[in-house]
Amino acid sequence: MTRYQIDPRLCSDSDLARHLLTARGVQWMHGERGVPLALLLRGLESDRHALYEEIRRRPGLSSSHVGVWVTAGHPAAAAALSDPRLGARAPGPKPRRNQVFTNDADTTLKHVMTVDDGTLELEHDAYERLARHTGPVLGAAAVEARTRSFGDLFERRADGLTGRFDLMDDYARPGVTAALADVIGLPAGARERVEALIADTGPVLDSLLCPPTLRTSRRLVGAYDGVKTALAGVLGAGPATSGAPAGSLLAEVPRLAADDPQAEADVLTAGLLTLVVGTHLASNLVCGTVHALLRHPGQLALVRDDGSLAGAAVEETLRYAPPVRLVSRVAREDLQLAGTEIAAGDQVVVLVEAANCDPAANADPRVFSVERTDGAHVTLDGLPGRFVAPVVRALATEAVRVLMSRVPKLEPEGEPVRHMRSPVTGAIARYPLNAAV
Amino acid sequence: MRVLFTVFASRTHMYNMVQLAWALRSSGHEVCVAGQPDLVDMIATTGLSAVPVGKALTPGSDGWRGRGMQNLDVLSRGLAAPHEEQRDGGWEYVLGEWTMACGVRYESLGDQHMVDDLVKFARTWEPDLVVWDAMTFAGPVAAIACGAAHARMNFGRDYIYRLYQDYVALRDKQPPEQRDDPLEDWFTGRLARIGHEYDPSMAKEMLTGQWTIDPLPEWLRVPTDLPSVHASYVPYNGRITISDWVYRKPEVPRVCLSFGVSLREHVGGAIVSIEDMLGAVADLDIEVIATLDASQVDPAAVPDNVTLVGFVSLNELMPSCSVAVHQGGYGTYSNALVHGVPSLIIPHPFWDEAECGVLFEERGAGLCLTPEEFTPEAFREKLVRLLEEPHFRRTALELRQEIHDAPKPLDVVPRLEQLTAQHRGRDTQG
Repeated sequence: MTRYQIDPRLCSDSDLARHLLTARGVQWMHGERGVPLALLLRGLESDRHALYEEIRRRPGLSSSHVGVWVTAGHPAAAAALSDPRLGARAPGPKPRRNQVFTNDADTTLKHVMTVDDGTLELEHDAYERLARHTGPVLGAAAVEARTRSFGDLFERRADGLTGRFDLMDDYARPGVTAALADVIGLPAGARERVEALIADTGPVLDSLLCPPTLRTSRRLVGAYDGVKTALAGVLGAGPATSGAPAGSLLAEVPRLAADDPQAEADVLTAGLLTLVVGTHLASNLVCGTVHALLRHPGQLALVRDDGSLAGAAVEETLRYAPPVRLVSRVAREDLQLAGTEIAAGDQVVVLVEAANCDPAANADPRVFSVERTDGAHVTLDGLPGRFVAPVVRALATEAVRVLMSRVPKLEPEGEPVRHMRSPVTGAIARYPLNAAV
Repeated sequence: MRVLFTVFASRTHMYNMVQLAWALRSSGHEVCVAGQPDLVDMIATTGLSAVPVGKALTPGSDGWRGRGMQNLDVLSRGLAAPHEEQRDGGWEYVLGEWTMACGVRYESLGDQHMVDDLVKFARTWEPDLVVWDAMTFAGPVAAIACGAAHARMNFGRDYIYRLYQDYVALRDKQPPEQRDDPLEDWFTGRLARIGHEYDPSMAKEMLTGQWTIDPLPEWLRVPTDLPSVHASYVPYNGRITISDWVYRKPEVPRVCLSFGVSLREHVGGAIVSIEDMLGAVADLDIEVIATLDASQVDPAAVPDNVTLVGFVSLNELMPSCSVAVHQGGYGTYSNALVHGVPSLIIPHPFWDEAECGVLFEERGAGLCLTPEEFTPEAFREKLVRLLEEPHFRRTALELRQEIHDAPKPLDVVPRLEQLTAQHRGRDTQG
């Protein structure tokens, strides 16, 4: 939490609208003055890479505006993302959560709003504990063991695709959500409602840095709360009553962490992160990978020839067109990073996409190649992405592999349509394709 | 009727409303004018009743809310760009303009303090009609809150509605997921505060009023489909005392030179300076009255045929002038037109100056010299043409006649009464 970061639930429409409008207006104005970060936060598909290069010309961290630092270099990005001194909460008194950012504000706005800081804005140690508790279900090995069932699920979806379809709405998101509902162990009765609500939580990562519209903010928070309530209800009912299958999060983790009073809360947090953040990262990664392959026919041919390259294609997409382009951190104490003194409370924005394209880390970084041997990226190093990384990778890989093997000919029916105001994720709203026979 | 005028703390925007306010007052209607506290003394000097609302807007004035005002960028940046260039900017351009307008610019001119106070006053005083300055968007909110009719008072060319039309046209071409609408949030929030629900069909009326009162002659207006009432410009230049010399008939042609204080900062390029301008006409047999003070020009560089006067009311000065040289500001060109004086316009970049320069030239009422084209020689040449070619004066006199023949504020009072009865959302108080 940072000053002026508000919880929409605590604000009237009038205050919330004023907050969002001022935040967006001031961002736009900083952009007019040529501040690269502010231009990126507009979320319009302008030439991001030119801005990245401009920032990268200044080594280490560079000052964006007062109290805001930005980095486009791979080493500094990796250091920032792994440094627990950079967290989610500014030190000092707790923000009021309803202090509207206005033209009279006396500091820069850092984080715009919070959807659920107890889940989405945890510190490094909290995520580490969470990962320990849920590792038996959500860790890389456990997820790996589910590959087959993920594949079966996507196969059923892929076999239903004929003619014109939408990759996001008809394949990626419903497939990913259904797979994650299995992982969580969501009972059949709750699934339909939860799956519908998750679609409306799309701006959950973007809204930290870029104000959504009033209506979108309300819908986002409402949908998120709906998912949380449903999950808490199932969890409260206990594994026996909820009918959660063995091996799922709801069934296993309480048993595995029975001695820990934190366990139930951690299961809820892990379930929310997996369902909400996991769905959007994985489904955008699926669409992003397919889009990259369709734009690079040579690479597409390689993956079609050898399905085992699907994982490499996904990994290269994580680097080349990441489903998280920016991660924002706040200094919990005075610290030095990449040779720069950062004061407690300052914001550090890591330009993930830029760092992935840092020529210092990767040769020919703007070339998309599934055969790449370097491919260093920081896309899933940040929080909360790191927590869902195993499941996101596994789902995207299976979704892409299955699509390539089951649908012999895919043709784009236009460019992907992205959601407005999504500079953090570049979230795809629709991606019309044609499954030619 | 009770008529509430409202205007943000800008002297010139207030001047634009004074004659209409007095026309209503002298027709027996009750009138008051609400503005921020730093405008109240100025309102009171017009003899109208002043109502302070909100907090002071002028930096440094008493009660100024201060601090974050650095966010308030040049008010109308972009709006003043030539229209075709704006259109080249496309969706990103128009979206940006409204994003900054709703979040920063117009929100600063009439912030929540002002809206709250204005609504409170309107609910108490219960006006039948709210007349609001075209940038004072607290006006329509207050009118809706108290059930009054509301009309927008335009100044200059209607760039606000034109930009809105461009915005709507470009927005509707975007995929549904990208139809960003900052206006919806702006109006939704403002109406929510007074217990009303916003509907997107209200946007146009919230931006342009139930009707527009437009003081510009038709040839200067942006063509519009909006309901409008034309009440031609009648000068009001503040509380003034006139020196004798103003009325004395000049022995040689008199040229008025009047600019805003920001000439030096905004006229492009180092070659343009007031000294260059004055030097270029030093040998002409004319008398230049320059409304400049020592802070704007080095008195040592002022030729003998130039008199610096600081401030002088243009309404009183213009009748003795042969040419007016100015920046194309609304108040200045309107004073020149009312008195049939040809204009030499060196347009500022704030609002409609550049387009007005072109329109004056097309209409034959003056010449335009853009800052980019400015050289002392070009300036001198255009000024000499305006002095020596009689058709400029002839056209300016025709335009003066048109203005004199057009309805004045007093003439439109019955029409305003009629429109108010038609639009008022509650029963009259009797």
